[in-house]
Amino acid sequence: MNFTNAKLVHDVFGNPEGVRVILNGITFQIPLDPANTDYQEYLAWLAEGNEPLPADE
Amino acid sequence: MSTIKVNRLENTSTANGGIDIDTDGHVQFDGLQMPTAGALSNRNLIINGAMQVAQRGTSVSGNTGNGYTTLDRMGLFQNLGGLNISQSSEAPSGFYNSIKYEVSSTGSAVSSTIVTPHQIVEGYSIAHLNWGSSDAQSVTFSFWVRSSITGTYGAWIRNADENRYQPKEFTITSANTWEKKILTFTGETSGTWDVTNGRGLAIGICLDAGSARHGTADAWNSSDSFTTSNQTNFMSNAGATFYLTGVQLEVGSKATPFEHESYSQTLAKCYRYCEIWHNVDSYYQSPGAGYFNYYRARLDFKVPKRATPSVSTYGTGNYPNNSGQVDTDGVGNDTVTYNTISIYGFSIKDTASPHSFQCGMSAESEL
Repeated sequence: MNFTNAKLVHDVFGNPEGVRVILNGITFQIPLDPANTDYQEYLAWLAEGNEPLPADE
Repeated sequence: MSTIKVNRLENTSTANGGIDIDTDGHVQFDGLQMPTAGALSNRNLIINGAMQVAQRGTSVSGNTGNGYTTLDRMGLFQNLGGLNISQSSEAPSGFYNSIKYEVSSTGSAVSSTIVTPHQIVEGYSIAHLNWGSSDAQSVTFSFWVRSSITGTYGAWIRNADENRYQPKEFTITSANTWEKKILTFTGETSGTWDVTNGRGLAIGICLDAGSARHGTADAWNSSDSFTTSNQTNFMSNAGATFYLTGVQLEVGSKATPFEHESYSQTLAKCYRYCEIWHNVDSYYQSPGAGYFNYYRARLDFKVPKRATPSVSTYGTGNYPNNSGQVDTDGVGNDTVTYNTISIYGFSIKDTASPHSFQCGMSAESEL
């Protein structure tokens, strides 16, 4: 796993929309799309027992 | 109907050119191989095989891990030593660029070692191969290679489930000399091969590998088999170089001439997996406070993506400086968030005071 600083992102209605991470030193927002390979890595990271930071209110 | 049985046709006044028919019935016109299966154009399943497009940048130093760094669509599995990777102007006749791998820090292979440039081909692009069925088609992999380290190397194909592998050997016979290699893989009749927008097949060339990555050549293996036990240990040689270009994968049992295409054609294909606007290319005038006092702009991709991409924007400076931000006009860099990301584009949300802003952008939906 090569990303850090995972933090959830919500839309304006407070619904989960993505995860902001630092991936290879670059800030990316990963969508909640099972076909996105970064999201697949994020799910594997969660399965290892890691947790993201909560979304901003 | 009558049949003329002949191995070769030529003009009465010259032995040059002509038509050759080999013992399998395959044909060459004037020395150029004709396809043995499939169409006459759009044959290459590899994108950016001439190593022309490098949106992320043209060089990276001391790479130590997996991923995509310089030339588009060219991935790397690496867990040993360090590599300088760059787009090079060293190329064989008929090409202008290659990808160069140079050992920046050596390493000695252990069982799990793997260092292999590769490309993952989208499922939609391999549907016509009929792999996983009794009608599976053979494919031919051709490429130009030049290395300072001679010896036996491996090339491989595998499926997304990583339970069908076929390694093949090739030999670099002369140091620092361009050599063209042609390898034909038999179509795989078993296993699962994605034919939609996921990982169809991966194909690569092995620079180094430990024993756990070895398999049986020219056969379909069910576990890690990127090469054979004859693999050269490229990464143990300080400063060793390996160049690659003219990479083509096509249906059929013969390699046809490399299918050159315009830069714009290749770039458009690359955009499906990665789109980067370098520098600060986009300008937006925020109209004023909107819903919840957010200031927004919409970025539309030039080409719809393979899947919903991971996205970022860039503030002042070239890619990838100040990622996650935008360059605000006369104010500085603002950190922004992104909404409504789809395969078509996404929105920027900025909660700072009203102002115009500029940004570069990256959207990645690699395989």
